[in-house]
Amino acid sequence: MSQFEKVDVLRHALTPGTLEEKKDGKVVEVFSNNVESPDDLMVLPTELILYIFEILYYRNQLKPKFLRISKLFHILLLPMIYNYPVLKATNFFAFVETISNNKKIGEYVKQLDLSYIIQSGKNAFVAKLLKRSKKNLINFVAPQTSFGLGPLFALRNCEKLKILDLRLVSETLNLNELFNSIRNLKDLEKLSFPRSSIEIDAEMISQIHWPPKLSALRISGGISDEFLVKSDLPLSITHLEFAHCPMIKDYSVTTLFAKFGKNLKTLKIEYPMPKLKEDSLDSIFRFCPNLTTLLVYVDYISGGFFDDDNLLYYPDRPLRNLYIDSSGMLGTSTKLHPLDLALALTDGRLPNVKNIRCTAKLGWDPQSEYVSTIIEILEERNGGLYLGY
Amino acid sequence: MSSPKVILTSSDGEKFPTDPKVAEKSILIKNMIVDLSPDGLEEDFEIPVPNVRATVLQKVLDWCEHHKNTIFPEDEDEDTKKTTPVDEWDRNFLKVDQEMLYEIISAANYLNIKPLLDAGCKTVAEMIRNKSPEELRKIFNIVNDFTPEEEAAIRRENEWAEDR
Repeated sequence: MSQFEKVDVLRHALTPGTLEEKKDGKVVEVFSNNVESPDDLMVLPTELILYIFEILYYRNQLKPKFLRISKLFHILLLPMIYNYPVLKATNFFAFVETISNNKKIGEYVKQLDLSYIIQSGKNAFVAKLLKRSKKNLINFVAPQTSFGLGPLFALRNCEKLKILDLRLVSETLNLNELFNSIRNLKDLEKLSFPRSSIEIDAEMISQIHWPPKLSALRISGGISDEFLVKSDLPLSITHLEFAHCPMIKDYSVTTLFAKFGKNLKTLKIEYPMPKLKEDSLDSIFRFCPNLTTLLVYVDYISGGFFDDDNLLYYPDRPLRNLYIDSSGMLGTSTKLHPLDLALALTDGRLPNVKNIRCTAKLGWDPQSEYVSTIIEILEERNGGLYLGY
Repeated sequence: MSSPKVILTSSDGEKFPTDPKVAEKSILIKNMIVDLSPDGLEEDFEIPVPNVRATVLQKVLDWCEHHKNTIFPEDEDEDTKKTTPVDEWDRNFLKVDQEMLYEIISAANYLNIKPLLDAGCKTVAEMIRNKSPEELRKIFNIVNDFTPEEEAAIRRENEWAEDR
């Protein structure tokens, strides 16, 4: 007969006891008394409690106090608390201190929006935040002040960056330095230039190394005509925006559209563009036939914008969303007549337009025959005309 | 002859003959039926539910009965799914004591009934959002393994996030 009793291996593995030899030579397992009883178990499995905290996270109700529940939840919730820190002048310094003192925490930061940091920022702080969060940072919105060379250099190592928004930056940036900093950002998809002056070395314009995946570019600030004419925008760019460009004249915009317009799916040109004329953008439809979304200010188009010279018949024209805004300056309320748009729609020259958003500053009467025609056509296409203020 | 039923047996041995359409709100049961009777049920089909008590199973089946014709959106992103408020009927249905609520959530998790799991978890989320760490430990039966010094350090470290 065997001298051994069967040992329940699974039970032993789950609740480690000790094997002891009895006096009669039989080996038995002995379980200690400190095994977890059902009373010690959490009321729900960890993954469900974590799921509940995720719900609070998505509702913006996840508070740092939850980090103090236990060591396990501290580890599990830290990435959520630091993923997208909400930073203001009142908590910015405390955040910088935390990130400076604990290197590991910076790795949890994926989005850093410093748009509310105005006077409290310092170049060194911003550079430090970028350095500490370089590993996983995806979206960075630069602060209005304190974005100089230090932060620009620190950007080089943020290899996962997809969105770089410099539109608030008021310090002068050297464009060559900027492109040197971002040339290795292989995942960068959206780039917004600073709104302030930009130094451009004219000889370097044609040698710019654009990030390979860049699909959306917002041009603003001191960009010159030369930049638009000479630079070779990569074909990956399909979304282009212009805003606050005090130096750009219509010939450079037209040259750019003639060269690059077919590539564009979204084009937004916002007020003010002081050197554009009152009909500078009339040729958009001719040069950019593949747009799906267009935003234009009435200040830069004439009554002929929808004429069949400019808006040629093109049965596959994919434009779906058309936004027409206005600065409200003198003369803008009589520039564009709804009849021209109604005609373009009835002629089939805008075959896929579903949504049109206009400002009331265009002076269009919602009760008029032409506006009613526009509404009728768009509603038949399950879209609509939205008149805002 | 009456149509075949799915007979669910709770952990305490009670049997619940259930219309397949109702039982199939549970993806676990639905997959079991498809795997074992791909041509549809021809006779009663018994499925043990070994970790759900009879009172809880009854409650879960009440929910399935109420929602047997509801079509829940499947392709919502995480953001929408987690921020959508709990439906009014579900809110009233889940006004039960805490122990029952946790058991319903666990059962929904085991049986793979995602909309019930979501509603249950959202109800708990609303319940705990203003609680202190100490209260949360009691609610979830979590042991505090921090020393007072460690807890104070974590409070200091993350103070910046209180301001939002």
